[in-house]
Amino acid sequence: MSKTEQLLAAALRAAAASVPEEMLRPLTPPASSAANGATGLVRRMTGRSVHILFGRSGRGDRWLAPVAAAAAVVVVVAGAATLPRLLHGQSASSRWAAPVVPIGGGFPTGIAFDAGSGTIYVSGGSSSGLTMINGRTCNAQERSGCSATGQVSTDGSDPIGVAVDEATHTVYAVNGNSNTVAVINAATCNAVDRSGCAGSRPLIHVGNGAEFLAIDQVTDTIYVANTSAGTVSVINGATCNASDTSGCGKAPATARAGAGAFPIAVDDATNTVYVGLRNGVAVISGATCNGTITSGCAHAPVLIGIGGYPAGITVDDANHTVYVSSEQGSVTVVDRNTCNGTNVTSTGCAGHHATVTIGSDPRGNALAGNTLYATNEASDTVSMINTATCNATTTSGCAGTPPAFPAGNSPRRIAVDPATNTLYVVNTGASTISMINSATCDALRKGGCPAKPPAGTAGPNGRGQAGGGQSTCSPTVTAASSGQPAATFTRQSTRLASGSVEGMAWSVWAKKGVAEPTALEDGGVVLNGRWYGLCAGFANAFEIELANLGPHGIDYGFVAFPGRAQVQLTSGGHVLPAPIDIPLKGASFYIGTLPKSACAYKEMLTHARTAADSSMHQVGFGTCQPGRLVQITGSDGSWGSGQGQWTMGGFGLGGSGGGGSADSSNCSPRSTPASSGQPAAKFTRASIELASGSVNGVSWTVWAKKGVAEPSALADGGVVLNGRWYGLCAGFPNPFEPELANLGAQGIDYGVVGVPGKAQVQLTSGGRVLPSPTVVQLKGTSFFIGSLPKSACAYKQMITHARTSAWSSVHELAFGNCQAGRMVSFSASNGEWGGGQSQWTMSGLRLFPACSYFGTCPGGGGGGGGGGGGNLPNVQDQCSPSQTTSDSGTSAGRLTRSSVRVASGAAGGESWSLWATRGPGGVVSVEQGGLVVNGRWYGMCPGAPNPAEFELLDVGHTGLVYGYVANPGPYKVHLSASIPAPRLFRVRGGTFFIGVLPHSACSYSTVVLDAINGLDDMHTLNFGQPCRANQLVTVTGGHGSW
Amino acid sequence: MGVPLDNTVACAGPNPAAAGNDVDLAGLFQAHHAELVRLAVLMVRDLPTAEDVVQDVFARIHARPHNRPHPGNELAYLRASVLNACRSVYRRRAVAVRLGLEPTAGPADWTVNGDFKGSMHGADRLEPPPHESAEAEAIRADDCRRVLVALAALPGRRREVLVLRYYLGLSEAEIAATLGVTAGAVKSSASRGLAALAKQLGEES
Repeated sequence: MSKTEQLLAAALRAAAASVPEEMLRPLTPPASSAANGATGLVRRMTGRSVHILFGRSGRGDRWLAPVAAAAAVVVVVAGAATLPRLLHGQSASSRWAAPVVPIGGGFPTGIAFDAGSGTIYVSGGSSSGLTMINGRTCNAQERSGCSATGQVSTDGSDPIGVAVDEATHTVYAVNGNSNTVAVINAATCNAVDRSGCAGSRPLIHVGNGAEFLAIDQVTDTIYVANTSAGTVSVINGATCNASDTSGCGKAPATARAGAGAFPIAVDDATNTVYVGLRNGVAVISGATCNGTITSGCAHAPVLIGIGGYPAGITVDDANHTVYVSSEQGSVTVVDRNTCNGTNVTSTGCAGHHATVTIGSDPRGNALAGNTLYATNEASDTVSMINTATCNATTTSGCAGTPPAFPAGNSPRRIAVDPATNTLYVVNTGASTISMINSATCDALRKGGCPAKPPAGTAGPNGRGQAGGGQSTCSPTVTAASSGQPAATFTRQSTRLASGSVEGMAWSVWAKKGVAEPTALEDGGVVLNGRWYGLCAGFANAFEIELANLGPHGIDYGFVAFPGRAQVQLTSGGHVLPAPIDIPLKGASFYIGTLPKSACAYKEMLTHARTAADSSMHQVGFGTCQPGRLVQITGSDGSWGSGQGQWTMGGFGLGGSGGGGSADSSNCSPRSTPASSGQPAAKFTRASIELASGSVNGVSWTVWAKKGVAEPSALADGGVVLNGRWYGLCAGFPNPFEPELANLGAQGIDYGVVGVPGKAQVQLTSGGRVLPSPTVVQLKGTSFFIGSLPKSACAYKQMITHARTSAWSSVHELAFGNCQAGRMVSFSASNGEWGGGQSQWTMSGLRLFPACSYFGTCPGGGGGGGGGGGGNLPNVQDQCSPSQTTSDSGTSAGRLTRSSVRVASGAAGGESWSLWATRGPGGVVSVEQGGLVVNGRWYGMCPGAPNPAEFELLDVGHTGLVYGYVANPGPYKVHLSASIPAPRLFRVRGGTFFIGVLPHSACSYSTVVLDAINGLDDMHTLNFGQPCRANQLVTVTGGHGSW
Repeated sequence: MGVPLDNTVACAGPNPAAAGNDVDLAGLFQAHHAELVRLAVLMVRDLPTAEDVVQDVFARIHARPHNRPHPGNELAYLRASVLNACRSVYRRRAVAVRLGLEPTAGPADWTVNGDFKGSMHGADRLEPPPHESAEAEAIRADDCRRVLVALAALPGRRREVLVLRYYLGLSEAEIAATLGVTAGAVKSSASRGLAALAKQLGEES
């Protein structure tokens, strides 16, 4: 184990040990009588928590029902003590379960139906995209198209809410962790036509904690509920849609809502937006707050007093009723006519509303015909309310508990396709979609309702139980055990397919009595009467084996995803002949011939792609004996990307005991200063020119090597500058590599960003941003080239950022030897790639010496990312001078003469002003500036690259606290030790804060700063002596996390 | 600032990987309740919520006689259910903290029965070995806390994978089965999570 792993394991054990069993709540003894005559469970509400009490009698016995406890402890929550009336009356032989569509691991919640294409879009939650189901071939009555779901990325993290604007054929999907809304063209990216699914898409930046959204088709406005911010973002759909994205970059208007804005629905008829809050529903007038008119957005909305955490809202036009599901276990009925954006009568919004008791923890709801379907997330059921008898006018049907049918694990949201009468219910806990026929299963007709939960969803995450979905194959195939006579194995197996390869007969077999796809993995391949297994011993969905059976090796394997697979094998950067692929029972078997002996391949990079999935597997090979499989020495890969795309290469191989000689980089030869700057002709003859230009009067062309697969072709190529060749291969698989070339008074920077989409590249050195390079998109990557203000030799350190719409990375480099006409050698490197959230990642990484990557460190140290050491330039500190206690509080004249004032005010009776250094702006200018209080200067630069710094200042009656959060904001700032929230000021991209201390500055031994913006930056400082008037309090220690 | 990573930390704690199995529901509860609560604590970072999560899971199983875990797969099923429930808590907690509904904020809000130590909202109830000096104890406690803070800052999937691997000692295949993802996704999440932790801990050393 590495040191980090040891520390992690120890810390987890320690944290878990802090929960000894005797501290856990004891089980309650069984009760003697039912509560309200109900069987089942009784719930106790504690704040927002729900505690389930159950009982045992004796040891190891059955559950007892009912359970009750002292009245002071237990409060029977309305609705929970009476479980939803599950449907009965079906004979055992007719008990059936609703069909389901599995949509893979994740945390799916949102769902929307597009009538134009018949597509159901389901947000993937942790799987970072939408699943697309073809509603025309996958519905309550037709299942032929249910296995061919599609995927589209939302270019963000944790997609939650999804909605379709039918008029503009646009899908809007909220990325809950990114606070963005992705805009997807429904006409070209749907379950049938996926031509428009690839590539990046426009993103709208909305408020904090965005989750769900709703569309007003009349005003063409998209309303997004920002749960953390308590607001609603108001997006003009006319200028931000699939056809016109001109307005997508514009910040949307913000409407006031209230704390915990969560579910949201629009009533087109009255132009009203209903937003569920923590303790009610806000009513916003869409007439005065929409995509084009925002005059009313700042008005405080009217509140409908509905408790219990509203979680789902549906508007029924026919009955002018708004139905609100609340997590406390009920649906509230509101009269739309008397409570809407323009009519808020005293009895309409504020009066009493009928409620219907349903199941446990209701969430989303949806209307089909005369039935409101409401999910009960904790009961795993869907309740059906007859809207003809329970609505704003007639409430006779609101009494009693409506019927319900069982759904999958944790049902949350519903979409309806009226054309096929299908309800699509998202079972979040099972990652499946249940399909129910609303024509035969509604509040009045129950014959078509399922009587038991969907099959195959008993397991969480929809993977079913042992034997299905995951590989549990055996025995593990090994080189040593391969090549045995086949009869022993074929007797226990069923032949699935056969053919010939390289003059040899082959057949593929699945083990009898084993569920698929394990049956195939437990089976094997027979070649020339000898058995070769398919079970690698771990649950990879894409496996490859090499068999040494003659002058040409045989490659074979399987792809455990439905549909025909395309398989590509490469080795040493060269594409190998494609194997044939045979779809077999929800998987694919492939087999092919290699140009050379199987023993010649020390590593192989393999890709597999089906219509809905892509995988990559990099494998290292070792011992190779005749008639046997080649031993696998290392393996790493990525499976189930789900986008029909090849995934990126360049993984570092994880070995099984080492010994592999695989190269973790696909490019070659490695670019070095010594080999750079040679005449270009030799290289260009073997390459293809991709682009050209000039920089600093220097002509440049960029080349990709002929006969090499992408992206290695570009990495194996290079740049020609003034007729001289400079390579692009750094020697290790970083997808973002910059180089410096010393070609005159001004250096040239260039490099590659090896991810799809046009990249933005920023270079900084010494805290200053350098001129942006030109970026050219080349075959799915970006090439950049630019000019530096000074000679390339002047830069000893550089921090480089690259960003695409769905990816971000940082690479910090230190430079060394610099010779004319050559690349500058780099002496140290560290970085982070694949941030994935369109954010710049943080700087200030620890640099590792370059030798650690190439195994050339003195003393034999090596391996990627080895420990530090040596004389590396100090690249951590970007501000100067560092502030100390003793030099604080001096006259501010010197500071103010070289700075500009950027903020001012008064705090605790003391006047203050904030100053930033002149010249290039940004957060560094503030860190290098300072705070002036009563004519005295106090710095902002602690001398370490912490982006969340603060100081205590002993001035005035008690003292001040101030600081600067140098990460892009806006931030909220909290301080511990009962220090009131400070005032916040957005200054030059960061957040400055200043506040008055309630007690003497000298009395604080520890203060914690918590700067919040989505994530938290926390900084703890310890204070001590000396503590003198008009000086900063001495910092004696501290730590933090950013 | 901080402690070099080669300072071996001998924090105490039971090895949960050796937990056994029972067949009936009461037996499952008896056998696994504490372990599941500890797993939930590592995810949601406070004991009362963790207990609620686990009780909810058992209550649902109890209420769904048709939907019980298959024999032999109960523990994986329970762990997956607990992790799913924890994901719900993450989403709601992000809202609750912002709304001031919960008393703590930030990634370091480890609470055990609401006991706070110092100003760091944490309650590391470490049991130091008897021979350890106060300084070593403080250093070790600080190491553990820094790791847990860094772990809490990871994206959900990576955090789950690391906890399942380094606390429960599950194999990649078992983790993949628990989370309903492929082994490749497990590998990728684990390596990236460790790399992020190493970078964070290395920054503070």
